[in-house]
Amino acid sequence: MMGLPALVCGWFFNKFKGSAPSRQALVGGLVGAGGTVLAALILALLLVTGGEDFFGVAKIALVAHVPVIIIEGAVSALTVGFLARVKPALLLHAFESPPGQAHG
Amino acid sequence: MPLKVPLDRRMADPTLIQMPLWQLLVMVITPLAVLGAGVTLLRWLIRKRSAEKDDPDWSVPQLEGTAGRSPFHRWDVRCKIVTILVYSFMITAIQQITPAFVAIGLSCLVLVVARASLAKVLMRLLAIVGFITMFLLVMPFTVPLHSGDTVIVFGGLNWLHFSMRGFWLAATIAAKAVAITLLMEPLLATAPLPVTLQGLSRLGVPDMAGQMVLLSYRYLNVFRHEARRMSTGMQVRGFRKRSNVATVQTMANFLGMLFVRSFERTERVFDAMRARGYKGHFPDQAELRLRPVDLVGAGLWLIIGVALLVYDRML
Amino acid sequence: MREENSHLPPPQVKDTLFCLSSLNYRYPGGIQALSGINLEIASGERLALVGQNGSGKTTLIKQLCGLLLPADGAVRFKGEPLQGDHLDRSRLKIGLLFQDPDDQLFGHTLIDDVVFGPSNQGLSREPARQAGLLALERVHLADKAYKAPHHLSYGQKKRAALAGLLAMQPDVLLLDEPTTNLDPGQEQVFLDLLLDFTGTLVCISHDLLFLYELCQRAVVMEKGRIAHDYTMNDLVAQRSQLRAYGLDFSFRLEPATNGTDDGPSVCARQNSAPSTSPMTPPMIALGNYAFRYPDGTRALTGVDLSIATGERIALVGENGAGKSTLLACLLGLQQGRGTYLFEGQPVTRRLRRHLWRNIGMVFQDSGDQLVCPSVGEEVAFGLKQLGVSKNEIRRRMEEALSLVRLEGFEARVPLHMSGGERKRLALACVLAMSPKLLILDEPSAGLDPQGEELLLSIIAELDVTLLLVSHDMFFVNALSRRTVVMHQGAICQDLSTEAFFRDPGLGNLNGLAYTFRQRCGEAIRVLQHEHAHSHFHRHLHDHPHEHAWVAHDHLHKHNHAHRHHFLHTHPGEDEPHEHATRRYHDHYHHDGDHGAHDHDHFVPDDPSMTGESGESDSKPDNKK
Repeated sequence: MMGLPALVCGWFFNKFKGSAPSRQALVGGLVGAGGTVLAALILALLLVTGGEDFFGVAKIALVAHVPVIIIEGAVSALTVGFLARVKPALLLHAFESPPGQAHG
Repeated sequence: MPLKVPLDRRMADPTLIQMPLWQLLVMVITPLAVLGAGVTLLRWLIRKRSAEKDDPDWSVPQLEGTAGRSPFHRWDVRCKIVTILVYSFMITAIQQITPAFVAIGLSCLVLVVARASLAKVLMRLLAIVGFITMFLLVMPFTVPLHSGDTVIVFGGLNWLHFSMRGFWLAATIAAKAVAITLLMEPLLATAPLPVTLQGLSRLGVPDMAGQMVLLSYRYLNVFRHEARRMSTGMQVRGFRKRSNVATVQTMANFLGMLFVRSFERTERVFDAMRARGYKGHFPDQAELRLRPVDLVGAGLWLIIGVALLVYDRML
Repeated sequence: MREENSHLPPPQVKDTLFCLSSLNYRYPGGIQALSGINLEIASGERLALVGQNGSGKTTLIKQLCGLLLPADGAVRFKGEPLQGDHLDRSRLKIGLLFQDPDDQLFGHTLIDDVVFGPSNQGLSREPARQAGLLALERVHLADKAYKAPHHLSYGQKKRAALAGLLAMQPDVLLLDEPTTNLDPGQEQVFLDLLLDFTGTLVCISHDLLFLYELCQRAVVMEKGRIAHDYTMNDLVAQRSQLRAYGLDFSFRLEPATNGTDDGPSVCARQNSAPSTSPMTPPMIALGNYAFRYPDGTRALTGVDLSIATGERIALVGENGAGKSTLLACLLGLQQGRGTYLFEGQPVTRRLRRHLWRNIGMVFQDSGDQLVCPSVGEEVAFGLKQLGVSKNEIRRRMEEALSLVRLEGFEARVPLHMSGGERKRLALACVLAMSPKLLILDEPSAGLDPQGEELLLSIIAELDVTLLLVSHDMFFVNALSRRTVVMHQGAICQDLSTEAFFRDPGLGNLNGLAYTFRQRCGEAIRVLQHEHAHSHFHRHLHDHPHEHAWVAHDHLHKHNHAHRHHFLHTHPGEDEPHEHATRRYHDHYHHDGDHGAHDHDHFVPDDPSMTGESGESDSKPDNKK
């Protein structure tokens, strides 16, 4: 539930990261936020399959994720930016799962 | 959820109980307070227990010393994993509150038989408290109303209605979660982690996954210490978490640095492993033997599970 | 027994274990780490690998156990190149001890970890377990066999890591900085363990005193090359050479216990006693202070400590004596019981949150302190928290960086800087915030002698109240006037540094056995100051010559051993004197430069080279 989005995002990051640090940071941020969105959606989906009794919980779970998504995006972007400056080797293609997925 | 239709018409079918508004506060605050007090008490208990324990004799295996005591320690790891996992799935299929509580009772019984450490069990319970609380607080107010439901309405706040059915539903889920969580301790703590992982790998889980868990478990502690030292370093230079951009930037640096250091460490660890002849495998921990007793135990337990389910469906 | 061991001439019977020939290695990043390394290591030899940070020592060690493969040239172990199957087999016979024991203890419990190696050697479970237990017994950890590594103390971890190697009964031990962060007591234990080891030993360390005790041969590395190949005695005897390679640790040996006059020579600004008039309260006053960790461990009991403004205090004690906890309490990170007054005011919850403005601390591991992507941001980090204006930040940054000799480093990435630079940067970050009290936690850990000397001179110049936590008795002596000794969470001695060094029983009482250091130090001082000796020495040089079998006459470079003779007198105890430089000089060949003389052309695999030079190395005969 948490690992799947990370893998998906890792793939996306490798696909679109480019080489410029600013672009990497941007993509990192989008991917970081996207990972959380996906995780939230999966959680909501699982809840919804439990029947209409769980709709309310699902909605609240989604709403509760919004600030997390924003923070996750910002932190991911800055972290990837940091890594691009300090240790670009970490962002190379050889690593299947990119950093920036701290909690994703 | 806001109701657009007037309450009296919409709620023709459900049984309606009017309560003054202050009752709502009581109903929300009382469980929260009880829960808070419980959590504090548990924390205190755990602290006290861990403070009191003497340093055991580390020259003997901690688990082997107790091996003769409980059938769980002697149970074949593979059998144990399969049985407990299947049984857990059975528990999730329970729909009524009474069998769910029976399941909790059974789990407690298992804990006693397995001589699990109370402090550790409580710690695992603490971990799921937040999730359960969310269910208990949210579901009574959000489930759609059916005929035959008992609904409590507070004062003049028509949009706020407490559904007893939602409450029982949430309570059932909570009870099932607790029952399963209680089982995790006998599942994981009655054999050393490497042996449990060896059992998993024999059951078809990729070897690599087991090694990853083993190494993560070891290095999570190391990284946690590293992170704590780094955050101390930032605190000493006056960093405090605030809600501004600078904080986010600093946290990003902190995370990035943690990644870099962890990554460099993993490289060194891998080097150290290779230097000692690592070629993709950890040495096997123990001889795994499947005795007939193990299978009988598994069968008995699963029969109990099925009985529980039957009881649930008959209610 | 140890004494004799380290001063014995190298064993007579020698078979070459390692043979490195014209080895080059370049890291993927493009940095040339090793170039033209020719080295032979005989079995049973104890070799010290010294050189500044970044001179390629660690890279060389990784080559020796096949973790890195040579770009060109060859590394031979027992006659065969280290690759393929031979590498796999050899690895089981070569033990590599990492600097950080956490890198090496990847097992779930100690026993799991020590069994890892023997199992890979093909032992079945029970023999492997026995081998592991035996190894743990050797390092005195048998009673902790089933404990998880993260519950051990640092010294225990270090020994456990060694046990993991000893369990494999290796022919060779490669050690990378084995003694960093160990307290003197632990260090002594570790040294004894290594001296008991009978196989070949290659040891990297900046601690020449330790190496002097352990090794017989010293290889000096500089910029990826082998600059010199000495016996240990010769290395330490040549002060000018040491200085040239940035290894001069002799500043450590200058009068260590000679009474009152040496303190001020380093602590230039330290006037007599700090001016503590009864009117001004001390900067810090702890009264009957106690601290207990949440899990119930008593870390501090009944601590009374007062620090006056301008004082320089050293805090010493074995690992786990409660020094770190005391620091955490002083910094306001932990709150214990008892009175804590800062400048006469009780430290309340509110004041505790602001202590960081007045107390700065340089951590033992600079990595814990440096989190920013550039030096400029790093220094500005604390200043921003102080709320200083932009111009002021720039001014203070320049001031602090120039104080630690890091001018113009603003745009550099801290992560890519050397250990010494990072340590000084961490110091600059703290100094920029102009703290009233400066705490230094093990400032000398992991620095090469040159870096240490620089750091020492920087700290000595500072005009600040100083609390130094260190196992390094030299730093303690040089930087402090008062020494506080901690033991088991309490302060057991609080006396002048001078008295601390005069009390011989104190060290052993507190597990601070630094006596072997004193002993070595004195031995080395004798070597450095009085010698008249002749000995064989290997080096490269160019000259025209002929060989008996092939007559030719041309300038070429060859490697041979020949006798040097040194004789000089000393005018007095402390007066300066000249040493002949040994690297390039003319020397006499018995048949003249053009006659046939007997030496080998340099042949990479020829083992006779080392054999000859090693055997003929004579001990210096000291004459007063």
